[in-house]
Amino acid sequence: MPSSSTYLAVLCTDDACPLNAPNAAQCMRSPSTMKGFANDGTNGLSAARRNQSTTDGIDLSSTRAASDHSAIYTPAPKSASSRYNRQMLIPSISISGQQHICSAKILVIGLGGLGSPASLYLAGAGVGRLGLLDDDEVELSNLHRQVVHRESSVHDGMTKVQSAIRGCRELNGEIELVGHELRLDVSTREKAEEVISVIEQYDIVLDCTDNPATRYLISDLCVVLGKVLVSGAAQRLEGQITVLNYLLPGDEGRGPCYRCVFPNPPSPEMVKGCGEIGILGPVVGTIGTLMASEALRLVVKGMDEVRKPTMLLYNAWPADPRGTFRSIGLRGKRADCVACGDVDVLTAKPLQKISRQEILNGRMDYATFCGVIRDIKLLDKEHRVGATQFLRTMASNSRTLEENEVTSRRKWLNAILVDTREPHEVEMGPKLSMAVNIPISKILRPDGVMEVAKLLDDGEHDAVVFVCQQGNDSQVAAKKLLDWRTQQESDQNRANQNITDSQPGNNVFVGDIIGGYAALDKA
Amino acid sequence: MGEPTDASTTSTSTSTPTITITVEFTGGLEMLFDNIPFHHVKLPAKNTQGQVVTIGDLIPWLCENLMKDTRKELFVLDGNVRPGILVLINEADWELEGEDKYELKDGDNVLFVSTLHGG
Ligand SMILES: [Zn+2]
Ligand SMILES: [Zn+2]
Repeated sequence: MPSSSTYLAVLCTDDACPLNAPNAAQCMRSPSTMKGFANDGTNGLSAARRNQSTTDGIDLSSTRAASDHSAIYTPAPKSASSRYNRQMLIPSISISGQQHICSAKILVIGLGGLGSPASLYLAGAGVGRLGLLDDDEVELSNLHRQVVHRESSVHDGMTKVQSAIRGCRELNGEIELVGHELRLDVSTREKAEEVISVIEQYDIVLDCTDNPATRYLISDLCVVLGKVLVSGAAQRLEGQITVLNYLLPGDEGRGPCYRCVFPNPPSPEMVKGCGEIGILGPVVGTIGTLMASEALRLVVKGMDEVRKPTMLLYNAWPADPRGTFRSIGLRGKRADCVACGDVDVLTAKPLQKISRQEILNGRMDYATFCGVIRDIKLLDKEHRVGATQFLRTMASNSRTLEENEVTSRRKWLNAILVDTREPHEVEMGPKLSMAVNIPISKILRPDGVMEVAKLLDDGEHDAVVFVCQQGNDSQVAAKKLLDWRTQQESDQNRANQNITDSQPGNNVFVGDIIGGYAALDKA
Repeated sequence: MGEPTDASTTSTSTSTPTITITVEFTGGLEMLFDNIPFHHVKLPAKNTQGQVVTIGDLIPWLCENLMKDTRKELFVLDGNVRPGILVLINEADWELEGEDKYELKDGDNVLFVSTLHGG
């Protein structure tokens, strides 16, 4: 509660106040006016809802009924001392800014680490209609960063939409909260129509999602539907935020869009989710908070405020402390952008511009455009060891195994097991007691494969089996060792030299465990 | 995260004029460069054809001299910087500066930003 008497100076509304009320705190008759935020005796919490003189959720009526001196004295409007008072005290917001906020329609797509703080701050600020879109349920591993959700949301099996609505509702009961339990999928006309009908209801979209395919789709939808897009992303200790598809001055239209900045998607191998590479809660929270702040700026200052396209980069633990935040200048709109570019330029190329109709026709295949990480197949079948087979064989005394089993597995029974996960992944994951840890990042360095070859120097092993989390890096490592062996052999044949100790010859089996620890876990 | 490193071409002799620039990697790209995000790089001021060294010359140079990871394809594809990586010259998109034809000057900062996707 405020302690400043300057702020409270207008609060006393009791005409019969014996102090004649310079300050509600001193009011003798109505000390209850101190309890809430409002000065209308309703305790403030739902003043706007109860008052019929509300425009766009903002109460412009006077704080008291007309009195004798109303000809010369107008009390402060009720809204000035509403729950939004502290943000209305900012000169560039004031009453008109708050009116804009209270009539704004903002859609938050993705109710995770970015969407949580973004939706909470927008709800708190009084955004008139706040749309919350997600298709997921709340999980315990979400809670360290997805602050709109609660432990009880997990226990009650709530969807993220239900949980976020509850969180925002508890914060602000006066705004309209609209849940959209929906997957952003435009693969059929029906689905595309539903997605479009949701986005059409809003003015600003916050992209709080976590994969490139959805980011391109949201950007394209914002372009064809004419919505401003606030795009944020974060992973590990870094975050990025940019505003896209805003109105350009004159009749330049809108732009740039996500495709102008990133015409081609990154390689799927470079795209990893929070579940794989990690994220610090306050880092993604900072970006989500900045997204809410950008959305409020757009609402109050207008969607056409002249700006240069920029992207803000955030690094929570930078090498140079001056690098915590930096703003970089982005290129402008691309004339040949297939989403927001110039039709004549595109026709000359020739390229077809993405349209609402094309999206409705289910013609846009975002998954294919961005690529999907498929399980890689670098090794032939004879170089691969099944997870169940491996555990069973290694755990049992060879005497208990059938003779034919021993024969078929002899090639790797005496193997060195190389775990290619990074040290922190080993620490947090399951382990095989006989494994030696050589991270893939080390193996992939020049001569990194020598580290593995050296393990064979003791002459006690006649096989190398790699294991990783999913069975992809292990194949990469095994392939690298096999290629290196082939290279060495051809070099030596040319030089006509003898094979050295640390070189795995053709008699040494090189392979990996199919599906890695994920498969071992289920075996 | 390590200390900034100094890298220079082995062919640099005292008679060859050089320039020193800073090269930075963010968004996970530093992993390809020994986990070091900030590098001081000394380059010959002229390329092999005797022209002023450009960003176009810098990129293969980085692959050969600074990159520790053998997965060059995670940084360069078909001779160009991979999609999803922004190249900034003194904090402005290189497309505002003439892209790979930009002539490097002593003291320039070249920043490679990999897009993030998490949320
Ligand atoms: Zn009073
Ligand atoms: Zn565009």
